Amino acid sequence: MTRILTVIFLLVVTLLPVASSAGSSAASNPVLPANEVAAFSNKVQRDLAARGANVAIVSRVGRDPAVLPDGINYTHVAFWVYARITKADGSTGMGYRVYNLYQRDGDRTQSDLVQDTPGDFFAGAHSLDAGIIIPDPRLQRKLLDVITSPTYAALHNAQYSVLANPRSGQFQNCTEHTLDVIMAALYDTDDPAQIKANITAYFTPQRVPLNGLQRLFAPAASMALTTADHGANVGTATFGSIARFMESNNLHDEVYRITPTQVVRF
Amino acid sequence: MKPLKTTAVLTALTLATACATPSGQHATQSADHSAQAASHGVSAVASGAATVSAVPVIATGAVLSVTGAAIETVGAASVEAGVAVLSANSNAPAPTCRASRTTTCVVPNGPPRLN
Repeated sequence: MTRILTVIFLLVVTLLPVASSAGSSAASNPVLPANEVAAFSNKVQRDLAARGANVAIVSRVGRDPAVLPDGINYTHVAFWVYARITKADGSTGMGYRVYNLYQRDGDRTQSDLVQDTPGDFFAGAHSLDAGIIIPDPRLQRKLLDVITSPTYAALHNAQYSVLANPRSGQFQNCTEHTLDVIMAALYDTDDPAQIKANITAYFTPQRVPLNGLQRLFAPAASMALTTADHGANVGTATFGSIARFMESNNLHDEVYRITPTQVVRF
Repeated sequence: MKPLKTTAVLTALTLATACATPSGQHATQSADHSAQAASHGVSAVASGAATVSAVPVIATGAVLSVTGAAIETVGAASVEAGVAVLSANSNAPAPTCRASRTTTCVVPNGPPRLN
């Protein structure tokens, strides 16, 4: 009993402050110099544009990889869409618009779909490191059809979980929404049940090793850590698992990583 | 020892919080980043003024094809504007069959394939 109470005490005292500020990366995450973020954002934009990517799946490192579970290197994934951008002063240019699902500030169990810029995307990063999947051009066109249709928002479930089970529609995180959109594009469907059936059949989630005690007490730290949508094992969608799915089904054009100093294939 | 191990694992999971939006402080800074990114970039937009619209396009050779459904006004400040354009889906139709845990009630299609 004492041990259990100790666990609860440690969880609440240690994790609640972290959980409450995890999305607000200012408190727990170094803010990278603005000029470095700007330069890196443009490096990624120029790289994607040079490869002719109209739609890319881009991920960032939001936390120190040393504290992330094994097999998880990137903490946020979004679609980057090549667009004609008009500024307030009337000037126009070509660039990438980022289509995100963000955990909501103030209520970590909810999320919103948010468009922002490459600079915004990397502003909260722990380090300047992007994992990139450029889909096959045929899939890019299908993805754009979904992203610019009501289906994109219809596939959003605002009930957020860090470890959302991609085979279930109960909770969703940014990576699962990305996967749902990919499946909608691949199968020309907006039916959530069909999408989940296909994910269950063909997508292998990233396994996250948790024991019963850990699963029991995780929601005490933050409801966004619930695993109520999982069976005996916990698995979630990640950049790596989506990349493996794309590669194993020949749905990709390129999968690679960009840092300020290098561009390398995984 | 076990409590400490449990705490460490869950701390890692909590820190792994994905999909984090920039904080209020970050939002201000990131808007500045965006402006700088725009003004620094050759392929990015031309000036540091706020984005008012972003229209996805498909470029095939020399031809630019605008996707009709996507002409969206995204407002004056990028982060807030994004929220205004795409909000939580309150009008989504309820799925006729809700998958739960690791099972679904729908037969999957064939393996994903691009024609």
